Amino acid sequence: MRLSPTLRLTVLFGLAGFALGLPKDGGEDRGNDDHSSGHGGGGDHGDGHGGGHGDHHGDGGQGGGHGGRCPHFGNGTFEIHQWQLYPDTAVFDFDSCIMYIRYINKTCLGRLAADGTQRAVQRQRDQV
Amino acid sequence: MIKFDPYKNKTLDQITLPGITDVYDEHGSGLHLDQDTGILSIVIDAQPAFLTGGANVSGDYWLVKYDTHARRELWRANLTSVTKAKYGGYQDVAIDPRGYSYVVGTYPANILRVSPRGDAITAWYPPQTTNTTIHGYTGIASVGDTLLVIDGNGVPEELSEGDSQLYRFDTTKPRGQPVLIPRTPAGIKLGNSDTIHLPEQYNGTVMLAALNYIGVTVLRSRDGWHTAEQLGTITSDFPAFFQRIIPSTTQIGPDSHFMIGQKFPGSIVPGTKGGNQSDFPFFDITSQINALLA
Repeated sequence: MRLSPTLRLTVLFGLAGFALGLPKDGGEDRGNDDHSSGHGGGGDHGDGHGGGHGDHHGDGGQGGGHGGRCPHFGNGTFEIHQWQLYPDTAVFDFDSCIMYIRYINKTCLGRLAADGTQRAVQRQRDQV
Repeated sequence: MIKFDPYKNKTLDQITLPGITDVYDEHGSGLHLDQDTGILSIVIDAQPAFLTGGANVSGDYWLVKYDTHARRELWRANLTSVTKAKYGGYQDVAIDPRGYSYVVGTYPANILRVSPRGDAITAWYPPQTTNTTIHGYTGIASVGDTLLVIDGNGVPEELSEGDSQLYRFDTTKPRGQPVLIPRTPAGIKLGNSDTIHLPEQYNGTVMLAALNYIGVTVLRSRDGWHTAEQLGTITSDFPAFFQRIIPSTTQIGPDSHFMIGQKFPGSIVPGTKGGNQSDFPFFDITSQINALLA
């Protein structure tokens, strides 16, 4: 599934507001129709620690103590399709090349119900 | 929490914490992975503080350690045993080179230090006021012996017109002592932040600050975070207003970076604990970061 074409990200450079924006027509929205596109011929990704990644060790060359163990992730913007996931925080394991994603569920509804938040939301909406 | 393969876009496993996952007022918060040991540090917060802007700081807060290799919980430390529910709002964690965990509290600003085995918790940087409604520290990261903390500076985190400040702490000290990190260029405010993240790619020299309703501000330090350059902000413009909230960022692979846009459930699906959505975007901001760092 592709993201809404209305999505756009714009870089504001300091006070000057220098824009380096992505196209509004979704041109940067590569989606995840082909999830294997980022493997770069890395073979089976697997679930084990380091399994299948030996060929990639050190090929990152980008700095970072662990950054070179996993293949380049070339999928661009992607979506996770899982009912009721609501991801909030994620960490990447540079050894096994998988992520741990903490998700929220009912508690965030309560958070939004906080009076102060509701007022803030309304104020923001009024400004739009 | 789920274990997810981004290369295959596939969920591999789900991790639950007995006595926490299904308890209504307990809420998973900060998350840290020790890349050397594979141990996850998970902050569990109590919901009331975040519903009341700190007016009610009751409930149990926990720091949980989970071994991703052995796939089992190692221990959990009850942070409330130290705070006595007089302050709280814990929502992020960082680790120092000696294995101590530092958990930041928001209501009001404070830091707890937890020993490597979880058997000793100290108020390393105790609250400087008894007023729990002053919105304080929300995010923490570490590089070597230095802790970096972002302070909401009294502005509630759900507002966008913030004026956050960055502070540095020395973990070799027996007590925490915040040192303000001056930012350049002068006069540019740092919006209201949720979390801060030092992507592995940049060896602790680049910080991504997730800003509620704004996006991600990129900062860089060339002197070990004695000073910081505020390079610019990658804005979010989600179709739905609530989704503009950016709770965090993450790196995938050696050199790709993503902004997590938060969706809120809205109406809870009857008989479940969540909303009805199934599509959750991770926005690639790699090229924008590279442009700002160039």
